[in-house]
Amino acid sequence: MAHGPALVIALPFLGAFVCGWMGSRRIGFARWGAVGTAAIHAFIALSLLSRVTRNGPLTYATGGWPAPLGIEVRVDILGAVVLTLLGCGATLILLFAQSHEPAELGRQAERWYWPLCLTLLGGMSGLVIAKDLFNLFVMAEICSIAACGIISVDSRPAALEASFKYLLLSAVGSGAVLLATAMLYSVTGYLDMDAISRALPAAAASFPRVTMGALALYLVGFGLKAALFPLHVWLPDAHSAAPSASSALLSGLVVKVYVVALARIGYQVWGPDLLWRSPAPYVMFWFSAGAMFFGSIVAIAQRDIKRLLAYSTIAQMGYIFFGLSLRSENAVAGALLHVFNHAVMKVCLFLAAGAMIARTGKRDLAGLSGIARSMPLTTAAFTIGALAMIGVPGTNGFISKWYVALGALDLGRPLYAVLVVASSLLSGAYYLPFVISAYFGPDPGHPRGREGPPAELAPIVILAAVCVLTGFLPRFPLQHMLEVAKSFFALR
Amino acid sequence: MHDLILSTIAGYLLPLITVYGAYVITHGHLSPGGGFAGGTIIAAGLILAALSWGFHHAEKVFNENSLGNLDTLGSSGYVLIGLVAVFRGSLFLTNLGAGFPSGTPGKLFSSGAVWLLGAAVGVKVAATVFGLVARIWSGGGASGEVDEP
Amino acid sequence: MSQQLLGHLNFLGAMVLFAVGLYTMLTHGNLIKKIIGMNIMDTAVFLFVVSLGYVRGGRPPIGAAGTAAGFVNPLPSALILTGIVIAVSTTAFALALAIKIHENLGTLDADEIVRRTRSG
Repeated sequence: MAHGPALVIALPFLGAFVCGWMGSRRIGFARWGAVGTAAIHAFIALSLLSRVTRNGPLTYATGGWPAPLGIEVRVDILGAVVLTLLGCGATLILLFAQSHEPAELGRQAERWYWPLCLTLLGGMSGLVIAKDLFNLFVMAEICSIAACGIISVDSRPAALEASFKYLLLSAVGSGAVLLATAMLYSVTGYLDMDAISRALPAAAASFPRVTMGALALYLVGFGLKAALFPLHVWLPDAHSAAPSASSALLSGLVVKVYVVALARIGYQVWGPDLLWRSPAPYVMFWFSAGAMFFGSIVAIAQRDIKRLLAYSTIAQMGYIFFGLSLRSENAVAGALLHVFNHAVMKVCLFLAAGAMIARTGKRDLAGLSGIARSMPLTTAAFTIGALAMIGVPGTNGFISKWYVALGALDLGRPLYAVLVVASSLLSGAYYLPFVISAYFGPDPGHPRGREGPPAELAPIVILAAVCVLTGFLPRFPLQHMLEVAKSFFALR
Repeated sequence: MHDLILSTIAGYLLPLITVYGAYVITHGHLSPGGGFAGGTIIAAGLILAALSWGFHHAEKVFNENSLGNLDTLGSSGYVLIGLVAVFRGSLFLTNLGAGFPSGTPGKLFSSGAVWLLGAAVGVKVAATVFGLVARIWSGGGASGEVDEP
Repeated sequence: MSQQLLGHLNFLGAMVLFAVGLYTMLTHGNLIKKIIGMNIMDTAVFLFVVSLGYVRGGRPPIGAAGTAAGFVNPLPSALILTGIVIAVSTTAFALALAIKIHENLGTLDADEIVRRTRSG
């Protein structure tokens, strides 16, 4: 698997081209081709993970041209863990989608759905392992166009409107990212992350305003794409209007890769010393604190289950940014762990919600009361995901929130830890009423209310099991993330 | 919408533009231009002809089916050429190191895989740009296709 | 100050264009005008990047190998070619969405679209 870094990008794209081409002839080929490609991607990602944890980061010079002349990709531990998350997550989501989406989308739209999902997977993989800032920009663009595509693929008016809004705002974000990349290039003369990070201290001393402007533009650009609080306006519409499997992909995986990109730029390119000499972490801190409360409070008022989950994503992205903006190894490790954990639980919740909506035809919380009697397994998985969101001990959400709070205590700011706890209690205020009404509420007589087919149920149950497993045995992801956080702070 | 002057001139221009586009694609490794520039030139010629003769004429040759074939040929061709190097034991997209013939520098058949990659990009870009315009012209069509540049 | 500004007329132009584009995009209600604003904003970034590589009196970097002195930096142009491709595909996708929205809702006005999707 020496070629793994190139294959995880090239294979999904090749799969997308072939699935798009076969889609008009044999739709079944495109369906299973997409699942198969994602499964191969997951396998390569897993083997990369085992290699990287044993032998250290793997750098791959495309075309045999090493940096700074050529374009390199690098799989470090963070990259390998997120790649594994992307591969396994996409496989489960697509497995769910191939039994669920044909009915929801219709034949004509379905043809484009599978290639778009694979393009998105390829773009996300490229984004998390790119070592070249321009490559980062290109991959981010591929992601955002493909993401808009999977929202609007079935041409429902609400989805079209949401997708248009998302496309325009992410174009603003990309403009900011490209401008920032150009500014860094103009003062350092490199596009390669390592080379820039070596040249940056000198450049920051002679051109402080240019480097500061570039950092601000990166924060705005990737913050917009990752729905950091005041820039989140596109997310609730986009994530709730999309088809169910798309919502899971977007909310679980897509917003996360931009966080990883921002973390790389902040910690690997700028480095902690330069970063904390700029106002960027402080800005991020207040924005994310706002996100944790705003997202939760607005979510309480929601009546639609998918909108509730979308606002909860804004709140949970708040935790991730909150942890990243604290200068403490534990907090950063907690934030990166929450990238992983939130992806697992949000995908589980969105898939479970999708299954409930498909069986009952209802999207509002009141209409879904008593659902546990007709769909016990799906509701149980939803409950586990919801408990993990709240951060109940024994679930994976507890571990990551614990480490973020621990980081706040390391800094000697117990008030910050109180913020984390208070926001967790708020998320209980909108998840628990639904869970209680699902078990004990009146059953309005769900006519078609049965469990979904095995291919639909299996991904939901597996993800719920992962939530509990990493809650009791957090060693595997936690150890890696602590190592990543240590390497972030050890730079220079 | 048929105009005698337009359709006659377009008839004379189409072969010239196409040949020029092919020239730009095939000389991408020697002079400015290359796959993307040449592909758009060819697509521009096709769009000019389709606008002056009507898109239904273009449908006979370049319909959704054949455009899809060309699209897939170009884009997966690029990835497959990149993978050839992997199968020969070099890094992805390696050129001369993976045994592509170098030819005589400065002549048309030189530079190994760059020539092939340029051709793949040219086919892909010509098909995609023309397909985009044709689909938007015929009222949106399928909702958006995403391609790597 | 004015000397410095005139020396960086390209950056000034890029800034003005970026502001014009962003303003058009965020304030106009018509979707087509929003798309035009997006393109103006992209053009501003392209102008900024391409002018970074310009060398006064420099030659195009084509032809025989030799010293690198006196050549225009080709890298920003190469990057911007990719940027243009991306801008073209984003524009095409946005236009396709606008057509679909007009087909489904019969309007291109952003407020009207929000009103019609919320009500039905």
